Order: sequence, then structure tokens, then C-alpha cells
Amino acid sequence: MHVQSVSVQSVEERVRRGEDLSRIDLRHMNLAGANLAGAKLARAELDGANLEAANLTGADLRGASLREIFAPRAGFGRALLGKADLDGARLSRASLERAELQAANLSGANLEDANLEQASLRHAQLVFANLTGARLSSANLSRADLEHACLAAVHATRADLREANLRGAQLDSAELSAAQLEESVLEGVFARGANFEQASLRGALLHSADFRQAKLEGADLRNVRCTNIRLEGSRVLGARVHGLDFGAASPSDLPLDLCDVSRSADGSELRRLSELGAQPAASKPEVPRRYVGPGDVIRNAELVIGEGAELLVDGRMQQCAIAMQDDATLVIGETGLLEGCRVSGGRLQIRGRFIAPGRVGLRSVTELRVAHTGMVATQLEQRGKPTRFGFDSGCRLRLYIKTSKTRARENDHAD
Amino acid sequence: MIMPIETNKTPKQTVVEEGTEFKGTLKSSCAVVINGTVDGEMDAPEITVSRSGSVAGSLRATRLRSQGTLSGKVEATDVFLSGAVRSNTAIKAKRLEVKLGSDQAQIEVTFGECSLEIGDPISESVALAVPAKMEPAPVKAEPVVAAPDATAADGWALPATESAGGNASPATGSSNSGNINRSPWKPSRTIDASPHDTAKSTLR
Repeated sequence: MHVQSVSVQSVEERVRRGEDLSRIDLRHMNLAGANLAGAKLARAELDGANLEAANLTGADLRGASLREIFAPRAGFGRALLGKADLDGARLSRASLERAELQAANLSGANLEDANLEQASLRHAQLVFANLTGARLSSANLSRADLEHACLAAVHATRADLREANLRGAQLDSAELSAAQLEESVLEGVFARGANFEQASLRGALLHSADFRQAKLEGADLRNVRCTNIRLEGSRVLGARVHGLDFGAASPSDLPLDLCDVSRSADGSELRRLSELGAQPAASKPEVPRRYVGPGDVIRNAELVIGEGAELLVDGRMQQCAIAMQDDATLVIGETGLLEGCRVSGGRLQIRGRFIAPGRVGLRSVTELRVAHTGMVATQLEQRGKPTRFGFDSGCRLRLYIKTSKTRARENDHAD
Repeated sequence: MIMPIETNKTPKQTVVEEGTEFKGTLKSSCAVVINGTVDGEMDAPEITVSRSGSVAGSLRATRLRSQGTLSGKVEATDVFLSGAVRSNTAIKAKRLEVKLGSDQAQIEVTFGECSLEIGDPISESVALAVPAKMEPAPVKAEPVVAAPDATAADGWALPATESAGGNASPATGSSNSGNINRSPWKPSRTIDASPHDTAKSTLR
């Protein structure tokens, strides 16, 4: 049934009479300011409709199509919107308090300053949605997909975000105190100045997340995995951090607050984040190390770096061949220079310079990490297992990466 | 389908949706998000290639963020990479950022055969210059005190603090430069192993 010619008044009248308007076609209709409270609009089609400041309190819109509706300041309080399609909907400053939005599609929707307090958004799709300044206190967003969504300055105290996907989301200055974020994915989120006090992030993934100036006091961070996380200026006093994993290297400028490292989170053992993972001195395994100090020069040498050993170069090495076991580490400090050297295998951290242009200087290295001060000019050959790369912004590279296929091709040419 | 998303206050962006294959030239003055496949030339101020997206051809942007697959020629000011970079790819950028995943995690970015030209050119004078940090290091005549356990047959070894089990950790990036970590024996040493008599050191 298509009621394009029907007036707003007649629709309001039918709603007032309690008529069932399921599957009604109201696409692109101007219903601005209409009173549709309690309307029975399950599976109705309202694509592109104008619902600005309309009253849909308690309406049944389950499975309805509301794609790209224009509904700023509309009232959807306690409305049933389960599985509704609100793709690209404009709902800024709309009231969706206690609305049921389970598995609804809100991808790309604009919910700026909307009120979603105590709303249920379980399994909802909110990819690229704009929720800036939205009120989400006690809302249920468990298992919701919020990838790349903007949640800057949201008020989401006690919100349930368990197992939610927030990869790449914007959470700057968000208020998430006492929120539940267990097992959620927060990889690459921007959460500068966000408040996570007393929030639970247990088992969450926070790789490459930006938590600078974030408040994490009393938060539960047990078993959080957070390689390359940024925590400068954050506050973590009393955070529960047993099993927190920074990966291969701890981040720089970790806060100095004391955290609870006890397994049962009972405050019986307090340590700083920088001390995490550090084993007692007695049981600390002896790591064989070599050091080339500033001013030292080594030429034409052949070095074999065994398993687990470390070579730190703050001086200069020229025309050297360094064979490393996969577990061995070579660190070129800021004043270090490897010139015309060949390194095979192992992990490399380059803060200084590795210069061997026009030739394969790095062969089969398992990991290559170049800091912002680092400079690399060479060819790198990957054989078998691909190299793990990490490049900090600011590094200078003239790097030609080869694969085993390149090598085979070169051999063919040579033949 | 390519659809510009326009919301009240969010910036405009052009989206190449998943399942869409675009061939040709795409020029835009607003941000472009690639969830599908693009084969050709692209020019936009900001390009985001999502995990499901792939771009082959020539790509120019001020800011490129890729989690998908790239191949061809890339020119940008800032590049943030994860995902995959296919063979025959050249990336030229002012800044490149690649996050290093944890040991347990999957590799953040895999590179096929490609060239990376990042930052200002590396001239010979810059590459081989003595770092400024080292220049003003007129080392005081230190007393020749050999640490009891810090001798090395080949003439170079750890500074006393390290060999005594100090907590300097290369893994955490402390590069131990400066006098505090200088060799206790000499201000500087030069070891030159001739090609016929190569100095061989094994550290296990």
C-alpha cells in the first residue's frame, strides 16, 4: 500500500485509532512534527522520510526500513526498532531513550548529541556512525559493531560494550567510567583524554591504541593485549593489570602510578607498569650482550650472534658480516652506524643508521623496526617467512624489499 | 556503488563499497574510503583502504591509511600501513608509519617486492656523518680499570655496568649512548680485521 497522497493528519488519525500500519509505505513523506506515538509500523517503509521532531514514542518499528530518514530531534523513546534499517539516518539530538535497537543497522547514521540512555543496541551495526556527544549511559552495546565510529565526548557511564568491535573508533574525551568493555576490540582507537575510571577492559585488544591523557584509575586491565599502545600522560593508579601484555617492547613514557598486579586483583601486590613482566633478579636469565660504544670502529669483522643474545651498537661498524639466530637482537643506537654491512636473521631495531645502498644488506631478518630517528638505505631480502616490519613516523628509508621470487628471477637472468 | 556520504556535521567522503569494482580514474576533493576494488588512478586528499579494500594502479593522496591491499605506485605525504603490499609496488612518502604487531598477533603488514622511498633523500654526507651527539665527547683520561668480569679476547666488550648485570635494555630502546656506557678501557677503539685475517666473534 502506498500512501504518498495521504496527508499527515490522516496518518496521525489512523495511529490514534490504533490501526495496524504494518508494511505501510511512507517513503519520502513529510512527517515533520507528526504525533505517531505508539504507532504500529512494523516492517513499514519510511526511507527518506522527513521525521524531524516527530513523536514516535513507543512506536513499533521492528524490521522497518528507515534508510536515510531525516529525523533530528525526533522522539523514539521506548520505540521498538529491532532489526530496523537506519542506514545513513540523521538522528542528531533525537531521543532514543530505552529504545530497542537490537541488530538494527545504523551504519553511517548521524546520532550526534542523541539520547540513547538505557537503549538496547546489542549486535547493532554502527560502522562509521557519528555518535559525537551522544548520551549512552547504561546503554547495551554488547557485540555491536562500532568500527571507525566516532564516539568523541560520548557520555557512556556504565554502558555495556562487552565483545563490541571498536576498531579504529574515535573515543577522544569519551566518558566511559564504570563501562563494561570485556573482550572488546579497541585496536587503533583514539581515546585521548577519555575517562575509563573503574571500567572493565578485561581481555580486550588494545593494540596500537592511543590512550594518552586517558584516565584509567581503578580500571580492570587484566589480560589486556596492547602492543604499541600510547599511554603518555595517562593515569592508572589502582588499575588491575595482571596479565597485561605490552608485546615485545614496553611503550615509552609509561605512567608511574602504582597498579595492582595481583592475580585476584585484591591489591596485595602493587607495581608500576614499567615493572610489568620483569622477573625477579634471581630468576632472570642471563642475556649475553655485546656493546660497541660511541667512537668505537669495527671493520671487516664476522660476527655470529647466538640465540637470545643482543648486540648494541652505538659506534660504527664497517663492512662487517653479522649472522644472527632468529632470537638474537641487534640494536643500532641513535649514534650507531652500520656501513656496508650484511646482516642475516634476527631482530633489528634501528635508531641510528644502516647504510648499504645498492646491495642486500639485510637478509631473512625476522623483524625490522625503524624508530623515528632511524635511517635505512639498503635492500632487504625476505626468504621463507616474511619479515615483520615496524616503521615509526619520521624514519628515513630507501629500502628495496625483495622476496624469494625476486631472487629466483635474478638467478634466472644470471643463468 | 560509489556514494558520497553526507551527514549534518561529518565531512564528506566518497565510498567505494564492498563488492564494487571500479576501473579508471577517480579524482576527488573529499576523502575516499575503499571497501571494494579500485584499478586505475586515484587522486584525493585522504584515502582509506579498509581491510576488504584493494587498490591497484597509481595513487596520490595527502594522507593514506591502508588496511587492505595495495599495488602499483603510491605517492603521499603521510602513509599509515597495515594489510598487504603486493609485488611491484613503489611507495614514496614524507612519512610512513607501520605498527609492529606483537609476537602472537598476525603480521601487521606483508610486503611483496617493493621499494620504499620515505623522508628526505639520504645523501652520503648525511648518511655517514659523525652524529652530533658524539662530536662533543672529549673523553676524560679515565683510569685504566678493568672490570673483573669484563674482558674480551677480541678487544671489545660490554661496559662494566652492563656486564655486571645492569638494567640497560636494548629491547626497551635505551641506546646507552654517552660516557656512562663507554668502555672502561679506552675512549675509543678501532678493530680492523683484514680480509685475510677476519676477526671472528661468536656470541652465544
